[in-house]
Amino acid sequence: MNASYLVVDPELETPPYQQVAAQIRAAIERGELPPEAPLPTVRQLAGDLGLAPNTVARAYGELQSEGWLIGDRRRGTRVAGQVPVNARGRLHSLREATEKFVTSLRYRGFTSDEIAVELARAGAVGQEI
Amino acid sequence: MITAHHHHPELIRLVMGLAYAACGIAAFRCPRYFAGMAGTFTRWGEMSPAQRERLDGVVAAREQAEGISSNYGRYLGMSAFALALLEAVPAVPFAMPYALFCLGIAAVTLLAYLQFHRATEQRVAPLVPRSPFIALPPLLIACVAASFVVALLFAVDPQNRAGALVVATSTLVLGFVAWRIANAPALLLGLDPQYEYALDERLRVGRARNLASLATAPVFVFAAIAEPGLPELFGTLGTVAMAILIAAFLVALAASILPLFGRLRIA
Repeated sequence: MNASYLVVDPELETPPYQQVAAQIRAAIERGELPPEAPLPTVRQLAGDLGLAPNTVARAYGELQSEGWLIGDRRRGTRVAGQVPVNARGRLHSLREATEKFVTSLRYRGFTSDEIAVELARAGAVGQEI
Repeated sequence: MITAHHHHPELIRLVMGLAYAACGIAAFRCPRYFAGMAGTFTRWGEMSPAQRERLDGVVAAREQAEGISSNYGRYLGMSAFALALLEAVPAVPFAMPYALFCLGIAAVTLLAYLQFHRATEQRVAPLVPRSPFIALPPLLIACVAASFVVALLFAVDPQNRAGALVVATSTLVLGFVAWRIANAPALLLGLDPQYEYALDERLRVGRARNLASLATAPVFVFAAIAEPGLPELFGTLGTVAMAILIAAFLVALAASILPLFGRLRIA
């Protein structure tokens, strides 16, 4: 498998840590970084990119909190076994679909309270299943 | 052979002086061979024309960014001539010019890295973890450490002390520079990252191991012609130390040469 490469452009308005995080996220989504793939240490990546170690640590931290990466002292940072593939896109799609559904119910005369009660019940039924 | 110490110091100085002069002439005639990168690839023949073209391109770009040009080769050549003259001065310990020559090579290598750092604004990084122990395996580090200790053993004798301290310092500095290069960041321009990374890894291994090998060399040369030798100074322990030194030199030499015959790994 081909290695992925990161590039940080200091001219961009996007902060370097966000550039790093976005490119790692994209590499995982494209399958270039498979589950459990080891990542460089913070020090190595910071040195290669000419960034402060804190910048790379912040990017790794953000990706860990989002579930893309996992890290421990013994094995270092690596791609999570189950990554939230296109997590942001999925959330956006869910919100969009829910808003359309709720709007259609309101159009049919149901009140917000009735809709909320039925959605909560449907959610509870789904959990039981 | 190594432990025979019946020789003429003038003859040794003459031979070493001539060797430096020959080095100087070679460095002036083929400067890129001494300071360039093309010499780190021996298996060009196994590459397709397209691969060779890509590798040629990244080698040229890196040489330009590092400032590794004929100037560095000429600098080494001039150093070699200066050391040839220094060898003619009896007050200078005979191993000192050689130790200085090795340090000069380390300085040129470091300068190249610094020049590259300054030359690149945009940095590209491979998302692959690296270990400095690939470039400098623990066995090679042990060889350098053993050479350093053996050099210090010579310092016990007042007659050898000055020369022994010079070569011990040289070994220490060369070992340190080798370690720094094994740990250096990947230097990619981003024009052809795949080939640039392969070249970077090859250069890291080649340069770090070359410097580690050079770290053992001055002690080896010194021990071969120092009087009294280690066996005379320490008996059986001295003979064992000499055997370790010879083994360390040969292992380091092999470790610096073998990677040149390996295939270029494109990640």
